[in-house]
Amino acid sequence: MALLLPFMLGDERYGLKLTDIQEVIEEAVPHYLPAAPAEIIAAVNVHGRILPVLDLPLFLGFPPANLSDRMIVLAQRDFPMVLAVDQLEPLLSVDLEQTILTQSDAPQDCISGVLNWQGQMISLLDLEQLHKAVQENCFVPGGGHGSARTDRR
Amino acid sequence: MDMSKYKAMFLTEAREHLQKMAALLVEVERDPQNRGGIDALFREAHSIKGMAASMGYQQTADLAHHLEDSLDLFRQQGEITPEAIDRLLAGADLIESLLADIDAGREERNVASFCSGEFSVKEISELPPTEAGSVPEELTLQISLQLHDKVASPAARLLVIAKQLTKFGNVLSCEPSEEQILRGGNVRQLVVIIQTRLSETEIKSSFADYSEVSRLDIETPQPKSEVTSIAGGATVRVGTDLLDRFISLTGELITNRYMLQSAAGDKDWDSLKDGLGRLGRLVKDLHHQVLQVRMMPIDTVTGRLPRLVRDLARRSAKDVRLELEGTGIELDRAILEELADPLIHMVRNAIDHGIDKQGTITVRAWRQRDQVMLQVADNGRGMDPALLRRSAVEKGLIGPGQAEVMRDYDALQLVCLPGFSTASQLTATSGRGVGMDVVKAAVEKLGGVLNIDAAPGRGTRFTLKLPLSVAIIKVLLLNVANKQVALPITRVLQTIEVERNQIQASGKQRVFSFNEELLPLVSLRKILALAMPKAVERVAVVITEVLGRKIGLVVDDFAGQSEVFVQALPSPIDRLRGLSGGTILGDGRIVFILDIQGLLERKR
Amino acid sequence: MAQRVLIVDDALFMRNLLRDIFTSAGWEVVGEAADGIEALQKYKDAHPDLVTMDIVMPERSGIEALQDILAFDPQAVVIMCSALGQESMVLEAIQHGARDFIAKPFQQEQVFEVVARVCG
Repeated sequence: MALLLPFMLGDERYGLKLTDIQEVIEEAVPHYLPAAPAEIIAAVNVHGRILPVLDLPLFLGFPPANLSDRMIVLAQRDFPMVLAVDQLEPLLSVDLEQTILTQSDAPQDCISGVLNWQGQMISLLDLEQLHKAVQENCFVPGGGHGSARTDRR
Repeated sequence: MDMSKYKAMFLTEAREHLQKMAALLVEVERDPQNRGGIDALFREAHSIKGMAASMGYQQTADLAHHLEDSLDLFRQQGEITPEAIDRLLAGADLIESLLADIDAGREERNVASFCSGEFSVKEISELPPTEAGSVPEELTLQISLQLHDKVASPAARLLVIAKQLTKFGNVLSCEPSEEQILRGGNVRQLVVIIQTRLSETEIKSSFADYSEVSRLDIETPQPKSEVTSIAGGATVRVGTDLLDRFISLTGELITNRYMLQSAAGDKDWDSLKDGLGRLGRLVKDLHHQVLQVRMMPIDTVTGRLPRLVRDLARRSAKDVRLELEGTGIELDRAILEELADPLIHMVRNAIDHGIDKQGTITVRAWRQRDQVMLQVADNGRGMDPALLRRSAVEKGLIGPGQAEVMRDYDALQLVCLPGFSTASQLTATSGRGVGMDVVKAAVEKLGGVLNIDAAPGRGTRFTLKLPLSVAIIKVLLLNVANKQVALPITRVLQTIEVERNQIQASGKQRVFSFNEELLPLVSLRKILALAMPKAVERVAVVITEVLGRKIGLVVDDFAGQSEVFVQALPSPIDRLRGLSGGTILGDGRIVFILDIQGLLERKR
Repeated sequence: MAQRVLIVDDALFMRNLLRDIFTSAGWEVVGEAADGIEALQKYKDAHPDLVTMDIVMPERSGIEALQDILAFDPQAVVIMCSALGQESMVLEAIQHGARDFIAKPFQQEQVFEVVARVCG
């Protein structure tokens, strides 16, 4: 069994394993981060560390979102990032082995699989892919900000 | 002589002496016959007296003198009484208040009532009683005198006079000093600050038969009027070895310059390249050495802990030992300043909430690669994660669900939440002042990390992981489109306001005249792709340099200067062009430091 | 009762000059010594109120004699008689406890200004 933090992007439900999350900031105060690509919308002060905030709905091509002020701080050392999402939902205890239904074949979706939880579909966010996509699409020198995301609108 | 520039130095040194005094008193309290300790105390008081007198801080000098006198007695007795320790500590506190007065540019508070209080020592009360009322009040006077030009052996004459003056009272300072006089030569002036019961007239008349003296002035030394804000910067003392290294570095830089000059003259590109490489190394070395100047040992902030622990332990009727380890380890001055209050708070916590009746607090510092670890540990009752969870839920700081999944380690960190306190009631000592939330914020502001580990019944350890030095720079804060950014002050040539009608168009470029030079105006809003403002009558402009060319950077307005700790940015935003770092201001706001050149290059 | 002085100087001329100065002012000269050893001896014999002490003398110097006398009587009042160029020795003598000094060549008033100060 594993704990999963589900959150909404548009009307799709995504999830992150609790072990991938350092913490959830309850009332994140976004600060202006100049010269940043459009998807990096702010910086937040996480215990004295300056961390960038990724607008996950925008990055993954969802329609303009009503971002929650509860934000997810990732636990990855090499990817110190805060994710802004539409809405956080209560933790779920799931059996990952049993419930993964599909293996994604579109890596740019940043999804490692989809699980069925009591009839609801939850896409598992693949942080490794996300990291790579952010690097490639937002921080390629001279590459501008054109993101290779699929437009879901 | 203008003494105000010595004020900061005086305050720093006096506080150091005071801190040593407090630590020594605590030591001597445990071992009242510690002769070495009493001797050292006497010397500390003596040093403070001398410094204060020569600066003209009369009350401070009087008080230090008073303490010195009583310490002298204990020195002769070879023992010090517990009551006397209390009184000496009170005296040290009073000196601290006096220093605060001086620091703030206020008049020193009067210490006469303290000094007239008796030391509760038998031997002192056996001294011949002074007849109250009949003895004139002791005054501090400054006596300046000058010898005639024709006086033979003037140094010897001054020495005789200086010795004579010691019979009038207690000489607090003598300029030139006796050692200087003993070197002989043409010294004809003497300024002595003396504490005496003799009146001005009495002193003057006793000099009536000194035909060698051409002028005699007696006055009450006035605390020098303060121009507090001028100095502003704190002073740092620098070891001579470090200065020597600066000098030798300067020498190498000069050599390097000649080498570059001659290589450039000969168009010898290889030598030029060599020289530039060398220059790079020298500048790097210089930067390193300059950072060294800022390093200070940790005991500059732990020095006051022995006294604090003693007082707090006494107040709470606990037996608390303090152990200090590794306090010689050095940290950047700015880091130490930020640490002073958090350290005190952690020690207070340990006494109030950690230790039950008896225990030990250990404050230790050690180096770990390029970081310094500073730990405050007690062997008291520790903390119970389960209790902390429950308490945080009760206070509504976290939800029950959150508490359930919280690891023990994280539960311990709950004490850093604002509004959290494990004690059933706040005690007088730790109820006020900073809480653990402030401690955590201070550590993190420095780019450090606070770790807490504890177990019920096995004590609590707060471990601060600190950077050795921080990049501290002065920045100019700028407002632009309701946002704030910063520019290193070194990049700012000038800030001005330009009237609309002074701005001309030159092709696509707007320019304005600055010191008879036409400078292009560049809008910061535009560079940062922010909404353009409505036209205003006058614009705020920062003159800065990009690629060796002056430009006028248009901003909304200036938001003042600030000294900030620069944080390196984490990946991937460290790759953003145009940012040279970020900083967290005192109120928690993040402000990024702009690299204008990088920003403009990015646009191309 | 007249005040009593011991005059120490290796030069007869100086001893005579000082004797005249002191006697004319009503002092009693209780002894004269021509070197440092004799000075201590005479001091022990006469217990004068004041000693005038030349600095450069044979046998024991004035500074040594000063120390001898003060060792015998810490309350002894000794003034040094110095010549030009002896400042460092005067400084040393004062460090060792000489009360004051008079610089040669001296005049009666100067001598008595100093004497008044140390005996006053």
